[in-house]
Amino acid sequence: MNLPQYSDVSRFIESFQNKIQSNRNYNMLWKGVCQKIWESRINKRSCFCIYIDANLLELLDFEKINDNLKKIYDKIKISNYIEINNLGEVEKCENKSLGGKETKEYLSELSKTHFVFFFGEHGITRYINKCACDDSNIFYTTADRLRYLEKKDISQIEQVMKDYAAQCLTQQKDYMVFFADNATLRQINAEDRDFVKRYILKNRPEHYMRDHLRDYLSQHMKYTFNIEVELGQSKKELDIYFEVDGELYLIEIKWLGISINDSGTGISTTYTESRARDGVKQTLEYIEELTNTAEVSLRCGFLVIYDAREEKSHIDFGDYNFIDSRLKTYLQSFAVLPILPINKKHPA
Amino acid sequence: MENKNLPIISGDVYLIIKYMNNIGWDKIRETSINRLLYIAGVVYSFKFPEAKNIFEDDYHFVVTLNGPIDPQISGAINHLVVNEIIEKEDSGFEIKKISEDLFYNLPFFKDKKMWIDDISYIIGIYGEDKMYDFIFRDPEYKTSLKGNSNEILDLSLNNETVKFLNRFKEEFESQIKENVNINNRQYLYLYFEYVFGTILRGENL
Repeated sequence: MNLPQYSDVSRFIESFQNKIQSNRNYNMLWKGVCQKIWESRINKRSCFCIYIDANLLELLDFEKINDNLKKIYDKIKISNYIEINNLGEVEKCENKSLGGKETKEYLSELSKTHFVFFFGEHGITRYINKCACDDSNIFYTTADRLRYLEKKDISQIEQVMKDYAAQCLTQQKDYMVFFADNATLRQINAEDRDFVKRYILKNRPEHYMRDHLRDYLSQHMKYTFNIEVELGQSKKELDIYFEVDGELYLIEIKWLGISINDSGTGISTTYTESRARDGVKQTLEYIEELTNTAEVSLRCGFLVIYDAREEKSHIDFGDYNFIDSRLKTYLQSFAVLPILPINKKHPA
Repeated sequence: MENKNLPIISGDVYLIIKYMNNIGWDKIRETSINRLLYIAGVVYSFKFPEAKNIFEDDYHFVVTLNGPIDPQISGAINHLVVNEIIEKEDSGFEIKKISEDLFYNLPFFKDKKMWIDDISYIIGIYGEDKMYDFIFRDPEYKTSLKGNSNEILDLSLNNETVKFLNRFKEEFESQIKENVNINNRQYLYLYFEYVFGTILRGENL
């Protein structure tokens, strides 16, 4: 557990002791409404201010405020000072051209009678009783929020996988996570000097692939990716799964190539294209089981293939003729994500 | 569903939908109702360590890929729909008729009303789409999921979430040099802020 340091904690406690900042409705207005307005703005450089009569704080109706958000967005298009009431209705809107110093003075003065939220490029500055308040959160920063907003959604998963292949798996520190190191290869075959150049994966590389992919997806997509969970009935283990808007997605990982064997004394049999076809069948079996389990709504099962073959060739799934008719039904919830080639350009 | 629990759980489901509607959630999915009631139950003993957990005896949440599920909740939702207290629109539920008087005589209803109002605000501020992210960082759920356990999730004072919250509180207190008092409700608020930070950064707890 990484907790912040004393100075942060001290600052945070100050905000707790401030009655307004720990007021429930004020927090809802700030974090539940204003923060969302700020995050949803495409052009964060166009600044504006939303303010509300301080006497209305206990009368806020958040259901109505949320219903009226569109009207507020419409006013933001043409105004930069917008007063709302406790229902989120626009009471007054103006467009003022004020300089930096004048703006601060104006907002500060306004905050004697109103709660003021100034939407700037780097976040919201709040004014309470003539004081400007920084974001008092110590567990995340505006930069964390911005990075989160930049993360991709499910519709962009193919691009995320292409980026993973092009920008991540081409780096030595990343692809050598999967390949056996030189020392291990020399122990297995000391006579053949070129043996270290061969594309030989670690024993059971699927575990490294799963963790590596999970970490990459967590950094680049908005979702929580979970690993290694057994399905209720068959006890088969899912590689990665995640949820989007109440629907479940799963990712099955397969690899092609050669790995170190279980005893660590030699190499395994080569996994060829037929292994990819086994992956299709296995993913469809997972989809079948989850679709027929009442507890979840499965939207899609993805197959991810790491291709560690020295001679890479196109993987042909044909028209999935190798799948029996029972499983073919589930092809509508199945997709193969872009193939991930891994090459040992520089052994280590 | 056991009949004795139907009115109790129906009352809790009603409160969850009502308070989430109040803070601006539009329609609430059944999975979210399960998740919110689980969170309300699993952190209750941290907020009220001296009292018996008022959710413990009535709920039997099991681990699923979708989070903690208690099948009784589905029954309670149907009961409320049939009696036209809530209605389903698109993919979620909302209050159709304010009906609190129906539940007033249920055990602990007033306590639950205050608690669900409070916890709905603490967690609801992050939005429905973050509930999954919170659940999959919940220590009690995570521990059970890792063990591939089909056991009932523990809502008692000894659950992993309450243990984590107590460690969190101790660590936080070790940083405080001033003479200040942060109550357990404020620690809950801090805890969810802390978890939210891990969600934004794509980290595990």
